[in-house]
Order: sequence, then structure tokens, then C-alpha cells
Amino acid sequence: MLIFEDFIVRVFVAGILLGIISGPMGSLVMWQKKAYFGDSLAHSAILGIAVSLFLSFDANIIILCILVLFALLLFIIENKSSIPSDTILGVMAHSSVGFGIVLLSLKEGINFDLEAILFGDILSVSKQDLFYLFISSFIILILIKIFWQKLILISLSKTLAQAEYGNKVNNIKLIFIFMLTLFIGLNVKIVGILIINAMLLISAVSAKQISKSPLQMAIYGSIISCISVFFGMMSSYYIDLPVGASIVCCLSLIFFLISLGKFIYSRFG
Amino acid sequence: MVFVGNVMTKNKAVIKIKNLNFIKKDFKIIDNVSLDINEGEIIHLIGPNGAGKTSLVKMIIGSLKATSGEIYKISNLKIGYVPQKLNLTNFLTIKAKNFIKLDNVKIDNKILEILEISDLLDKFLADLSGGELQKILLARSLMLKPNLLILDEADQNLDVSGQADFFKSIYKIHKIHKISMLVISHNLHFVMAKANKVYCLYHHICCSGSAKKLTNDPRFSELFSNYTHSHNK
Repeated sequence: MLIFEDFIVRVFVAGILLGIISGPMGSLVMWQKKAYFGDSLAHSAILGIAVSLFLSFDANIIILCILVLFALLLFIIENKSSIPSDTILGVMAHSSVGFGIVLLSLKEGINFDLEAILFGDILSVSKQDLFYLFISSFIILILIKIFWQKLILISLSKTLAQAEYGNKVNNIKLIFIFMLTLFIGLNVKIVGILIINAMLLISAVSAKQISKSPLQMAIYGSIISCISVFFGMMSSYYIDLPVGASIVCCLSLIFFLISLGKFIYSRFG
Repeated sequence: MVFVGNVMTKNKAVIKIKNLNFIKKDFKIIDNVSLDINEGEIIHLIGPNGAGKTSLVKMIIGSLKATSGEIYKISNLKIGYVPQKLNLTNFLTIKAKNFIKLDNVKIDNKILEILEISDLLDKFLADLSGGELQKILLARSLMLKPNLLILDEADQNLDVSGQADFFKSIYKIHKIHKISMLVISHNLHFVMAKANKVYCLYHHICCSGSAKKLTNDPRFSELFSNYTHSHNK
């Protein structure tokens, strides 16, 4: 489409898509206590980026494949191993970073921007990236719509959910892991490895403070993310600040303002 | 192994457990347990901490696989489950009515009236007292129209008056709905005051029978005196 020829339109559409999905996904990540899981997945994307550069193949597909493998492996080990899950996550995340960097250094002539990998480069969103983002956002939204209430019940009590859904509980948890993998895999290039988890968590924590239901938390989270993405990109465009970091600063500022407002209201309201 | 179909017993059982074993790291957590839960019957399962009560419940629910033995379930078995507590600390703000309605459960005002919790619907779960929360959990599981209700130490976090009130609600519900119930509890006082059929579990079924019969059973006295003794230590 002609409209997406303009890079600034692509950047804003990508940012808004990212913001919309961050709200419900961030809420679910918090309820399911998967913050560290998301962080580890993001770190493992370095290996995906390295493999894609090494093989000169589409980064989106390679990152997604690596993350799906990583997530499946984590899911299986978490359920079968006696080692604490945060330890396994740490081992796998740092191993991925190590192998990724070694792989990058093995092949001569590879030009990579480490800063873009760590902090993202939303300004480089291509039409193909945008296509993947549209598809993945659509799939994630559909899955959220289908499994939203079940995931809330699982968050409240896994055993209660097991009594009601039987063995489906593990499948639902696996679907959630797939959603998280899809979200991180296709957005990590845009906002960066170090920042993607902030998008999920800060928006959800901020939304939690002003919401009165799970749905409200998801919607407010999306609004907060979209506002942050918009102002982050504007500040980057006009003042030449790094985009990913600017988005996180906006998120943090909103979190601080909401916390302050809530404190003042509870004290004097 | 779990079998679904007709359960062949003298009384019409909703669930029949036969020679069930569960071994973890060479330790027999469940040792050759057999018991039936008949239609409309309340079964009380008591036992000290670590006796295998939760493992047994998980195997009945299907979230834990038995090492050996059989569980026969009627084909239309629908289990209602009341847990000890919910994970309410992980940033999940939800009102009681929205919790009940999760996954399209329809609110049944009669159940709310019986449990006297109609006025709690607009409260947040985190703001409810332990007893109120347990009643909301009980109400939701009943609204699923189960034919077996499992209360997994649901009275654990309640004070004495809360426990009395909760047990009163359970018997009231049973009297009206005639639903099969498996009540797991530590609370000897309330169980032994009312129960008709009690199983004492300490990895295996140590003894079973009516509360009256058990109080005179030396195996019951031994199990719970040891338990009290070890706790006092």
C-alpha cells in the first residue's frame, strides 16, 4: 500500500501495534509471573539475530524459530526438571547471548549495530517487518480473546483451573508461551532486547494502579503504551534521542505520575 | 490409569479408586489407597501434613499421574473444586461477581442466598475476609453444577468461627443439593463432630468409618497423637 511507503507512517503504525498488544500481554505476563521468562526470551533473540546475519536470512523468521525452540525447551525443562526455573532461565538466556556474540565474531565482514540490537531501531521498520507485525498482532489478539478468561483463572489458581479444564491447562499455558514468543520475537528488533520487557511490565504496573478489573488493566496498559510510544518517537524525531530509551523514559514518567497521583489522592482525596 | 464409564459398585459411585500408588523419588506418597465416593455422599479425608492428601486430590482431578492403580470415574463426572486460597497478590484486581462469571459461569442467586453472600458480589476478592472468599469459591464451584465437589483444606485459613460457619454452609448445601463431596481437612474438631464417613490417610488409609467409630479406634488415636506430639516438638 502506498501509505506505507512513507517511513514515518510505518514507524507510527508499528509503534501503535506494539502499544496495543503490550497492554494485555503485559498484564498476562504479570499475572502468570512470567516477567523473567520474557526477559530471557528477549536475551535469546541475540542468538537469532546472529544466526540470521550468519546465514544472511530473514531476521524475523530466524529470531522467531530460535525463540520458539527456546520457549519449548524452557517449558519442558520447567515442568520436568528439579532445578529452579529462574536458574534454568538464567542459564539459557546467558548461554544464548554468549553463543550469539561468538557466532557474530566468527564470520568476517558482518556489519551489525549492537546498539540497535540492545536498544532497538524502530526507524528501520520495513514494509516486510510491518507485515509480520500485523499478522502476529492479529494472531495474538485472537488468542487473547479466546483464552483471556481461562488465563485469568489459571493465574488465580492453577489447581482450580486443572479441576475445571483438566489437561487443557498445560496446553493453554503453552499457547500463552507461544503468544509471548510471537510478541517478543517480532518486536525485539524494533524496541531492543533490553527494552522490550519494560514495555510489557511498566505499562502493566502503571495500569494496575488505576484499574478495577482485569479488562481495564489490559486496556489502560495499551493506552499507556501507545502514549509512551508516540511521545518516545516524537522526542526521538525532534530532539534526536534514542527511540527505545525515550519510550521507556515516557513509560517510567507515566508510572511515576500515576503513583504520585494515587498517593496524593489516598492521602488528601 | 483413569477409566471413564460405569462404576460398578453396590451403591452408585461417582468415583472409585482402586489400589492407587504414587511414588516420588523412591518414596511412597500414596500407598495402595482404595476408596469409593458414592452419589450424594460426604466423604471426609483427614490426615497430618505430608500425608498425601493433596497428591490424592491431584490424581482425582487428573493433574498428577498415579504410578499404578486405577481411578474409575462416571462418564458425566463434573468436578467442582474449592482450593485453600487464590493467588491474589500478583496484581490481579477482580470483583467477586466477575470472578464467579469467569468462563461464562452463570450466577445462581439461589446459591448466593443459601450461602448468604449476595451482598459480596461487588466487592474485590482481595477485600474479602478468609471466610467470605471461601464462600465465593464454594459458590462458583457449585454454579458449575458439579456431581462431585472437592474441598481441598478449604477451611485452612479461617479462624474458629469462620470454620464453624464454613462447615455449616457445606452441610446446608449438601442437604439441599445432595451432591457428592470429598472434604479434606485438618480440622478434627468439626469433622469428628458431624461426619458419617471418614478416611484417615497417612500415605495409606490407616482407618475409616463413622466419626463415632473412629474415635474409639486405636489406629486413629495413634496417628493423631503422634502428629500432635511431633508438632509440639
